[in-house]
Amino acid sequence: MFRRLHDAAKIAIEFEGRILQVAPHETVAAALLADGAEHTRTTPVTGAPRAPYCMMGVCFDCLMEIDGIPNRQACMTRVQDGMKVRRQDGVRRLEP
Amino acid sequence: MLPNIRIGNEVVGASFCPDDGHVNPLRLLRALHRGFLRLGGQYRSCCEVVNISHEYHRFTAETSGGNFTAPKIVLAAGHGISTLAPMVGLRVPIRPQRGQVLITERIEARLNLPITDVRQTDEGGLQFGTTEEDIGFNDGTTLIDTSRIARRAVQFFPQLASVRLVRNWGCVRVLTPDKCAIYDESESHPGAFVATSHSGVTLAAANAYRAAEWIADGVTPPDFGTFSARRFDVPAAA
Ligand SMILES: Cc1cc2nc3c(=O)[nH]c(=O)nc-3n(C[C@H](O)[C@H](O)[C@H](O)COP(=O)(O)OP(=O)(O)OC[C@H]3O[C@@H](n4cnc5c(N)ncnc54)[C@H](O)[C@@H]3O)c2cc1C
Ligand code: FES
Repeated sequence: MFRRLHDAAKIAIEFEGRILQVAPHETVAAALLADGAEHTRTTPVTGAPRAPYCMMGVCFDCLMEIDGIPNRQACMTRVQDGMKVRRQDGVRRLEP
Repeated sequence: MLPNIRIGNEVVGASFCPDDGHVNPLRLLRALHRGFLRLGGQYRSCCEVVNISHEYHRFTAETSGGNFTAPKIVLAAGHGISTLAPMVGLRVPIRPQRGQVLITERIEARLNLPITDVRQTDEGGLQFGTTEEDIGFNDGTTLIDTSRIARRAVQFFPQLASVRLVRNWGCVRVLTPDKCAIYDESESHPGAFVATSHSGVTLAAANAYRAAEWIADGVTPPDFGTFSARRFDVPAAA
């Protein structure tokens, strides 16, 4: 659905265990949308699938687990080589 | 009493009041608006009242969005009351006091009771704070208070150390000299009322029912006189 405007040198990130080649200037949200990710989190209340929406930090629909830290805004986080990204599955649990 | 969270070692005791509760102010505001509209009220935004005139037992509020005339007028404009009150012969001594608050990301429900300085809303966000600062209408935030408030929350509940803040804000309270509400009717301009308080959320039920009836019926309930601003008048020395 989304196409990159320019070809750039690529770095590798991991999304749900899958390696993706993404451009280094992209946010996690942009990289995943360009890759055709269908949903990036499920909601705490109904478990509905969601994807990045506003792309500017206000709607919080892009929450993901990034490098082990839950509930991070994928649209506000720049990709880094070797980054591990997972869907935010429902509400964040507190460590025991 | 708090089965879902670990309490920090530095906590030596606590007090409990069964009347304490938490009301989500965003939902409350929406509920009040809906109730008001359902009863036939009209809400007009962007109408700053610049003057109030009084003629033939009717008040006219002159606003940036037109004039509105009615037999009664209620001043409920927070700090705006200081400018409006003298126009209808009311004296309402209020002053600003800043409070800073921290908001975290939403997490699973862990706090089943509201606690002074640490609450969890029904949506899962935690709210930490606050401060009491007499610095006028400055509604900024300071790093020193933000970090002190956060440290205190983690002292209470060490598991919160990994929870991330999403914003902090400062806001100005509307405080009367004794911090209690003022409900008053003007002596020189009967029909002009003022209702103001800190804790307007806690007092929402009193405002929506008792105070609203008092204003609509014009009969002061027996215990309501206590809330007149006349309580701040110092009697002349004999
Ligand atoms: C940090 C902090 C923590 C708080 N904690 C609590 C709490 O735990 N529990 C609690 O119950 N309360 C709490 N409060 C207090 C509570 O928020 C207030 O009591 C409540 O918001 C007051 O509501 P109000 O409608 O009287 O006034 P406001 O919310 O101040 O609303 C006044 C409105 O009048 C408008 N206005 C002003 N001048 C004019 C004009 N000339 N013409 C037209 N409109 C005008 C303003 O724009 C504003 O919309 C807290 C406040 C702060 C700052
Ligand atoms: S997409 Fe809206 S906050 Fe990230």
